[in-house]
Amino acid sequence: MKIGLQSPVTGRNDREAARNRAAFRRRGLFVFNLIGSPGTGKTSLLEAMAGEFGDAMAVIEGDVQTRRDADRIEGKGCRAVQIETHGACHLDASMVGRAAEGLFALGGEWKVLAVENVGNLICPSSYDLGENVKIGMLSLAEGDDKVLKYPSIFSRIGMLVTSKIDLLPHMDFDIDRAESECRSLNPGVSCFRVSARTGEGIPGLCSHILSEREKALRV
Amino acid sequence: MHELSLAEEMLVMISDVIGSGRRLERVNLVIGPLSGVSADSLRFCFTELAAMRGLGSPDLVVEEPPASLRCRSCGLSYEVHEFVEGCPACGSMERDILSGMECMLESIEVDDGGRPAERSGS
Repeated sequence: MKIGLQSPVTGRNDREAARNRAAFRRRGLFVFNLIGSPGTGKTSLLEAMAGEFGDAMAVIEGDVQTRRDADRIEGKGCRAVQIETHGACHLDASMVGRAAEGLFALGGEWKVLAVENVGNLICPSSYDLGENVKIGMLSLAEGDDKVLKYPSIFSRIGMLVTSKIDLLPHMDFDIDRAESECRSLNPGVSCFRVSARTGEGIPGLCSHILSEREKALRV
Repeated sequence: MHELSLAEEMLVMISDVIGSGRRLERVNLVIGPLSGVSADSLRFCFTELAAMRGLGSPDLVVEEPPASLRCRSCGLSYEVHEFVEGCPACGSMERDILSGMECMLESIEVDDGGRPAERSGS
């Protein structure tokens, strides 16, 4: 006997993500899901953003092991909670929901919640966490041809951040190429070029996030 | 290797529908080229898990349709499995993606031992 289902395989995760989204919205939080390869500079970017946002930002850190990244963020004055996935290659909505409850129990008023995903350009693309936007990250220490090699993630992001631009004199990375290939998958993507080391581009990125928050809260 | 997590999800969904005592014969899945899911990895994980859960050795049949795109320069609708080529008419890489991100459990086929059709769960 054939039984029709027509259900997304991630249906249960999608329902958890919807619950997270409603809880974030109730708190006036704008949430971004930061996705990039290991070593692309995700935690360094969040440290630099902590300098702009101060205690208006909280962070959920996802790593396979250790709470090193949460400690780094807390060292910059932002509240951070760590998810250790113990081998899993991505965060899912229920992990983020539990971490967010832990964060909210600590008390605090935030405008922005950053979720740093596990360093990976494939697996996180399948999981909605309840975020407002996925931010994809590339660095000049990687190749400028990565976008079309990993189309599942770069077709889903709302913002592309190219980091480590202080290395530009030493690298052959063609930022225009990476950005135009990302637009070929995703015409609406907003592109940013930053250096967490020098701070270049960080204020513009943060003010864009705040303006996106204003838009999201008006809807 | 998130395919193991996805295989787990599929088995939860299927068990909710068929309950216990029915042999799962075939699972029909649609995977788009932008889903980020490997059909081979998913088939391996799903088959192993199904056997471990006492669901026998069902066939996982995967349909992999191309993504549908529309060229933003000339308006042509076209289909691709890979994204490095531009529009076949004008070569433009400017395009809107209309489909291709799906990973859908379409249907399952069970040996119900001649029992009347019955669907539990949602």
